[in-house]
Amino acid sequence: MSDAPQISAATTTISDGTEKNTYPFSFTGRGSEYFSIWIVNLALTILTLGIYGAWAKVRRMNWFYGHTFLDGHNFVYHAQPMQILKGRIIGIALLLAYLLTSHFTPALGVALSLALMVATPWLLRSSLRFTARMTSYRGLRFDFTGSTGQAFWVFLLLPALGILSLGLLMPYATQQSLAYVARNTFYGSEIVTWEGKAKDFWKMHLKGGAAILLALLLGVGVFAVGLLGQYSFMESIGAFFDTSDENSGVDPITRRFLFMYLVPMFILIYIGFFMYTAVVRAQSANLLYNGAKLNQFGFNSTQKGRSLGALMLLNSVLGMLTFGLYQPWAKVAVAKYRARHLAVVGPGSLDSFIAGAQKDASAIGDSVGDILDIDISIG
Amino acid sequence: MTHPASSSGFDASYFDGVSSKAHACTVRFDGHILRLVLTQSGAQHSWPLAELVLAVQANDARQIVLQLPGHCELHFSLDAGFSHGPEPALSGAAAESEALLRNERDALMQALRRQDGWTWLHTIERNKVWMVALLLVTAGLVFSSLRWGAPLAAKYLAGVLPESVAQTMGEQSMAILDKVYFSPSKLPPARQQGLQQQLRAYCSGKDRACPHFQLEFRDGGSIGANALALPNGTLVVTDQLVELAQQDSEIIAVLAHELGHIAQQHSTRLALQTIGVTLIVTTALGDLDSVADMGQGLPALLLQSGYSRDMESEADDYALQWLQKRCISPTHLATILARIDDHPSKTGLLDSHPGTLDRMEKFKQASNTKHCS
Repeated sequence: MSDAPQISAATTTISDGTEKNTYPFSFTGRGSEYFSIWIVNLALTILTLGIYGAWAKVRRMNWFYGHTFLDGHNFVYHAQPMQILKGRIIGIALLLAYLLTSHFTPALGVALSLALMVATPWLLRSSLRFTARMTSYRGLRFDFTGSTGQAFWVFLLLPALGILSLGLLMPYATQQSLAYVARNTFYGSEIVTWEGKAKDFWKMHLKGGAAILLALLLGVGVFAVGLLGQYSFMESIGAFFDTSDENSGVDPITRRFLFMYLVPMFILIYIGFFMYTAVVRAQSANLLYNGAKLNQFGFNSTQKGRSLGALMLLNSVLGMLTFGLYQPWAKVAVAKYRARHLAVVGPGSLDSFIAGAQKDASAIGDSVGDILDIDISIG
Repeated sequence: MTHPASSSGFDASYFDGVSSKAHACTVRFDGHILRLVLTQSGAQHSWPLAELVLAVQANDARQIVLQLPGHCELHFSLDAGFSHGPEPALSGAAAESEALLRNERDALMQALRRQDGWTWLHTIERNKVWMVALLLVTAGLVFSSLRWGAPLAAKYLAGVLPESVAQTMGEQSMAILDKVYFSPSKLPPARQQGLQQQLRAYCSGKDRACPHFQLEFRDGGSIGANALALPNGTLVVTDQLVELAQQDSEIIAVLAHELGHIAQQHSTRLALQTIGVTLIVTTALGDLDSVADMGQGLPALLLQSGYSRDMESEADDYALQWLQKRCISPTHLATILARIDDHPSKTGLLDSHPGTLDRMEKFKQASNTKHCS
């Protein structure tokens, strides 16, 4: 089986008199291969009460990076399990503390969850830094130099303001967070420059919002049409959620009837939520990459909300049908999609970058965020 | 003068860690030392096996990366070709055959993987039988720990947990309930006193010990006719329940059920079980990216309901024994249950209580056999 790396041959196009090469990304991993790794990761992690999770993460990242090719060379993930393990232990300790306090002393539990919420930007930033420094391409490492203070502003305060302003500040918040990630990223000694227009972010949020609105309208519409004049809306909702035997004022026949209408409504809302997530993800990736430049090289990201949404939906449905066993194939499909829709564009070859100063990174932020399910999924 | 090394070997790219430029080279491996010759400059480098780190670990990888000392990397493909050195006459060495070079490359990979120390892992990942066995063992362990392990551990821990914890839990929960749901009782004080005295009477005397309790009355608000037991021994009965009852024995029967919860530390055990399950599920699955799927929450919900149902059954059993010892007919519990629940049904998977029909059956049957002393 001859591999994809060779087909990433650059194609030369001429525009404004300058020659531009296009270097497409490609992903060569197969779902069946990842399944073996995934299954063994799962089993061993459970058997070791989570300790193997550090090794599992390294194997997973290493596999995905190793199968990602650009101009015939793959990316490499250099992190070592022990680094990640330390972070995980702290993460589990925090989780345990949170669980104990929230169950036995709810007041303290609330305080702790607030503290964790505030710590999230710090964790995200550490994660970005660690992952960057552990990644190499063509022998040169990446780096991330964003400050913690800026992280608070961009990941916590701005989104909060975005919500408080009923969404008016959300496009700005998204723009600032992408700017934070892009403009603090280094490849070797080269820093990424990034430009993003406000109107593009507005377009993205409006599109996403439209998807949700449409789904909501359709769903509620179906529901309303079916039940106009039969029961009041609130009664029906109340009856549906009332699974206990006490206080139920609705007979079983009506319950089945409600089920027939409420289920399509929830399905449509579920789909709408997926499309919203997909639109935002696809557009964020495009805005992040297309606005970024590394020296003379730019990116061409062509992800589409509709196609990504369809893929995510298919993954979700197949995942539910197979009790989660489809997940490895799902992840590979998404990786393939992202690679297929991303290319580096620029003059000359990619061998002109110079290394930056060597630095180390602590993995604490990376793994604590892991355990607490914190992740940045941009692009 | 050093003899120029034969520039035959398998093809690779060398990265010097200073620039992103790929330097073509040829590589030889004799089992101990890795030697490479840069094609353009003719420069040579060598490293012992111990200094090489396999940076791409996957079994199925065809593009290999080695990390070399000094932030250098060596990239080569397992499908790559081989370069042969200059004419044998010039270098003095026979042109190495492709088969030999291929073997050297394979030997290098084997040596690296062995050095890595994870050969057993690779074996498992490649062997379907091992994988299935591993899966079955894991599934069995997870299921049994969630179904039996967590509840047992919770039961033990609840027993050794200090009093103050249960105390705090109860106090804080009561505060929240009073804030959100309850308002002060509207029952006449005499009525409240009467019920207090009745319960105390049933809890004094030989063979009539009750767990430590404190009876409180509240206006139930949106909760309606109900009774609760908190971890610190507080029993809450709503006005609505008192009014719904047609005999005092019905209220006493409900209190017996609640005393069962206190005696067996159900709140604490349930909290510990939830913590245990959450911890198990999170640490086990925390590695597998965001589990945002709707389907993932369902097993947890089913488990939670399962635990609750077991505890409600335990409380019912306790109540039955308690009532029989005091010559109160268990039918009273069935009667009041029927009145609270207009449409009794069988147990459903998502129900936190066993279905009222099933419970009523149990009580009616028990009342046929009286063990009254």
